[in-house]
Amino acid sequence: MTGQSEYQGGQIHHGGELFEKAASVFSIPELASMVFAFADQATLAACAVVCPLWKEPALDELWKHLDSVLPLTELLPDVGTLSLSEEVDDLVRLMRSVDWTKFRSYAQRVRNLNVEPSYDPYESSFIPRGP
Amino acid sequence: MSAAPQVTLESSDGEKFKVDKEVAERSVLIKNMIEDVGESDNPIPLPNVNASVLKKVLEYCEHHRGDPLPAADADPSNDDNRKRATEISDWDQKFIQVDQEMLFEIILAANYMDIKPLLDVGCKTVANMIKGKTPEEIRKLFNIVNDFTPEEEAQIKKENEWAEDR
Repeated sequence: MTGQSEYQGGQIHHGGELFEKAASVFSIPELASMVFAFADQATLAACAVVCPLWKEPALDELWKHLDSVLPLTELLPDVGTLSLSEEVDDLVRLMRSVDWTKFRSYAQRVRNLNVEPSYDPYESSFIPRGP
Repeated sequence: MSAAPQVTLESSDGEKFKVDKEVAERSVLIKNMIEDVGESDNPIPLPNVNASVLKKVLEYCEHHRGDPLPAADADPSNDDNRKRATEISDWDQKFIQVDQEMLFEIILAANYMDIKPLLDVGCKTVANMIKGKTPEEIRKLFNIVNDFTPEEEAQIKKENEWAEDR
């Protein structure tokens, strides 16, 4: 009954042995991905900060399917808005290429992006309304 | 009609297991080995699996001997099908109620022996163990040392905050 005992914290020897086994499963990227494929979003977010070994496979799985673009746009710095109808004064500064580094590191994990328009697309001035 | 053909498997610690070929062939590794070298009386060595784990794996193969074989090459898009089917059948649930060390040993053996449905059961079980837990609880569960600096951890947390309250 080695596996149960490490919860008590006293059985360092068995705990160490178990750690080796658990670590060997999670050190094989394919196996870590398989486990994470069965985890929900909140659990994946927790897994991403467990240790560096877990970070990449957990984030890959978490960002694979997005139901909104917001997680991506929130990675960008707030440089204000530039709209065609308003003054340019709202713009704090221009985007720099380094601003995109973090965005790219996450965007490349996305395989499927679901965007539900929450507004009437024809209200946007960029899309001409049909006759 | 003679008895069902059998093969002998040999664990890393030298124990021999004589089982029906049909049972052994739940393992794609063994199935391919038999196809490659033909049937023989020589034991098939499994140098990565010890006797106690092999016994357990064969128990699974015996129970599932009649199941339809999974598709030979898994389509990556099958990922989603897998994700949806997180439930584990009653028999499998009971089978996988083992201590953590054995659970991880089974996963490693199923991966090595290429027994996809068993690998899935193992991975689902680990996923259920970590479900809803905090990072600290997960580290404690598996004795994992956190190598992140507090700044790194805070940074990753911030970038993934959107996933937390669902």
